[in-house]
Amino acid sequence: MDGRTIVVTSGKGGVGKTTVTANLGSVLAQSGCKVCVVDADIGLRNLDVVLGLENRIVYHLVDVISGRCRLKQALIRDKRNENLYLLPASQSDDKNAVAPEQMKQLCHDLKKEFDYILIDCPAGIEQGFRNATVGADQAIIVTTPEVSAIRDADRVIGLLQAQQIDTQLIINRLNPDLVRRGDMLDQQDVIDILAIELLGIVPEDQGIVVSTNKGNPAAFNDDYEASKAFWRIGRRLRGEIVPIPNFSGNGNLWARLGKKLSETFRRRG
Amino acid sequence: MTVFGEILRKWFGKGMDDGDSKSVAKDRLRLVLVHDRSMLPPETLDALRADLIEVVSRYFEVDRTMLSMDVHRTRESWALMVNLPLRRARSAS
Repeated sequence: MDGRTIVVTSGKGGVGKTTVTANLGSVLAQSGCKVCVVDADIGLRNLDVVLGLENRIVYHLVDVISGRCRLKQALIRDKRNENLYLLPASQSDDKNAVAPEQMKQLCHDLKKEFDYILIDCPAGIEQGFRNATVGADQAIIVTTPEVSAIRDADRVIGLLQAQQIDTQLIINRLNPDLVRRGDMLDQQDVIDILAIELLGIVPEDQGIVVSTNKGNPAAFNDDYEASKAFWRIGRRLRGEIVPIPNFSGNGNLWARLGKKLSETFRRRG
Repeated sequence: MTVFGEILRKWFGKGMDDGDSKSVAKDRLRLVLVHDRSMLPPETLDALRADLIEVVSRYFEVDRTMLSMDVHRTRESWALMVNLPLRRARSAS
């Protein structure tokens, strides 16, 4: 097998890297691909709790790299889908416990076993970022439509382009209501600013909070809007052409009329 | 807020103060990114210098020690200024 390594990164913390990694992993596994999600956030592991696999960790990434166990011993098979595996991070070591060359080797080994390896990158652009990106064939940048997240995304895009890693964008937590009333950057604004290919948009969805509470990724629940978005992104990753819905439309006729009226009124006022 | 404005707000959930903070966000981001992007690491400048000399050398004989290069930044734009004296054109081969 000759899999693809995709690093999920952002620069800024808290924009949804781990959620995106867990959900894309779930979606790809449910599509029949063999998937390994790797938590590269050494010392601050989180992917295990988002996936609900925290009680099953025996060995972790640093154990594998330092030869304390074999790769297969550290991989945790998901209880919901047998195609999905987690390689957890160490919670006790720090980021310098891993060298870029070792990560490269690890990605190389994983590619023999899996179709997709999704690496959850730590926030920041230091050693942990270098480790997470060094073995990647492509990168997914996660940003929210906010100035701070977009600014950091721009910095990370520059670094990835310097490493000649093919990079695509996911806009996470887009709130269609805020976009419609002009209080949130829309997809076109973000693309204009970052000048990068858009892989998908995940609308803000309370279902994400619920599923994270339960340790059951939203992608295992078809009802959520966010889940539908992750399914579309998964299909795009596998090479299908799936249109990106317009979350930034002007809404229905009445909403448009209201906007128009109130704008006219504001000008006069 | 007038009565009409209040009605509009109730009907459409849109008050006079709402809306269009995104264009402020976009403008601010554009400015800050112009600045961020202009901070080049020294390795990038060295690589650019070497590439420039290589390309120009295909057409002209140059003195590579005479190359001066400067990244000029203003509030809203940035430009690369290069000064590279030429000795003579290379004959077409």
